[in-house]
Amino acid sequence: MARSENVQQLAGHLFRHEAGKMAAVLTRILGSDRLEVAEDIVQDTLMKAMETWRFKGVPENPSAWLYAVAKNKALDFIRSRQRHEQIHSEIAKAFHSEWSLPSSVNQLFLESEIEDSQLRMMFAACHPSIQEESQIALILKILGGLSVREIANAFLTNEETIQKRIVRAKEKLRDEKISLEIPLPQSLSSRIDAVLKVLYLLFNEGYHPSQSDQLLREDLCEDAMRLTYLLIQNSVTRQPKVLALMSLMCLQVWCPEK
Amino acid sequence: MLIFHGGSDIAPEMREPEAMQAHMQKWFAWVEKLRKEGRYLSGEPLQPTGKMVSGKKKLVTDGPFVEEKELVGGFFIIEAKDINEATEIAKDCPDFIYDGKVQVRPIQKM
Repeated sequence: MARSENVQQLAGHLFRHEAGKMAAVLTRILGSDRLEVAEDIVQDTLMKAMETWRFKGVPENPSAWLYAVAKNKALDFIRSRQRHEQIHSEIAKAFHSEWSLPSSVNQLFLESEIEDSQLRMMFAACHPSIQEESQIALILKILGGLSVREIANAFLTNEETIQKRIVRAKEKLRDEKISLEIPLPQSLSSRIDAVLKVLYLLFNEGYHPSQSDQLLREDLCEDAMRLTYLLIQNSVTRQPKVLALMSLMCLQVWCPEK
Repeated sequence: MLIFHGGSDIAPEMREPEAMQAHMQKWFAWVEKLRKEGRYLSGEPLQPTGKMVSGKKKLVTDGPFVEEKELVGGFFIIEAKDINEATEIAKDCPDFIYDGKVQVRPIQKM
């Protein structure tokens, strides 16, 4: 049965990927100025999963389990102390009534909306006001679900440096009030260029490791391709240059220079 | 019934999320294995504290405050033909490297 593979697969991928998805959705719900709250909720959710699954085993649909917990934690956050008053996100209006709050949060946890949130997060992280090295770090942290230490290892630098880059990126998101949205047509092309650049840098980091070691390198390639694929799946961002980058990545992955 | 004491619940190593995740994988795999063999019936994690009701006056206190390493983190109910088989199963518990203990107790059948 596929289930046992599933449990093995959990090791590297499920938690990491689901962390990225949940962080994107939660940030869209709570606003980009509450990225840290979103990350905390993701961490709490993963902790709860580990504690529970340890004795009960991994549930049939682990993603749905994680989303249900994350949703509840998000609702608790919004309800407590009437925080909805201070939430700045596209759907914040729906939070004012208890009638529309749960359904609007549920809505964003639908599969198609999750992908959309990841795309928006990607564009926000690659906003021109954020430095390139910070953009990559933020993408890996938030969408890739990597820890600061893992990112530091991948880029052969120390945790402090990566931490600083991420903090700077978060400050920009907050101070410049960068919202999670797909850019308007007039700026779309140049914004896509920025995203593609980061994705290709990410891919290269996995493909031409300055130090040949472990699996994480392959993971970087995979993350880059996974995120590029998201751009392809959306009709607005499916531009020839996106397809071109994907082809390039595929070609390099399939013809390893040995 | 397998009752799990101490171990990874209190191990300082588990404060690192990556280490914890790696260790929990072993638990997931163990439950999965027992489930496949048809031995796993159920299990629950327990919150670290609760209430203790004691004495004729039904005194309610917070607790139980036992020594950390004795704290029960959770339990499994498994199917085994006898106590020896259950004990062998308990030896697969991933927590022994963190000084965990497993109490093996047959459930009294009617």
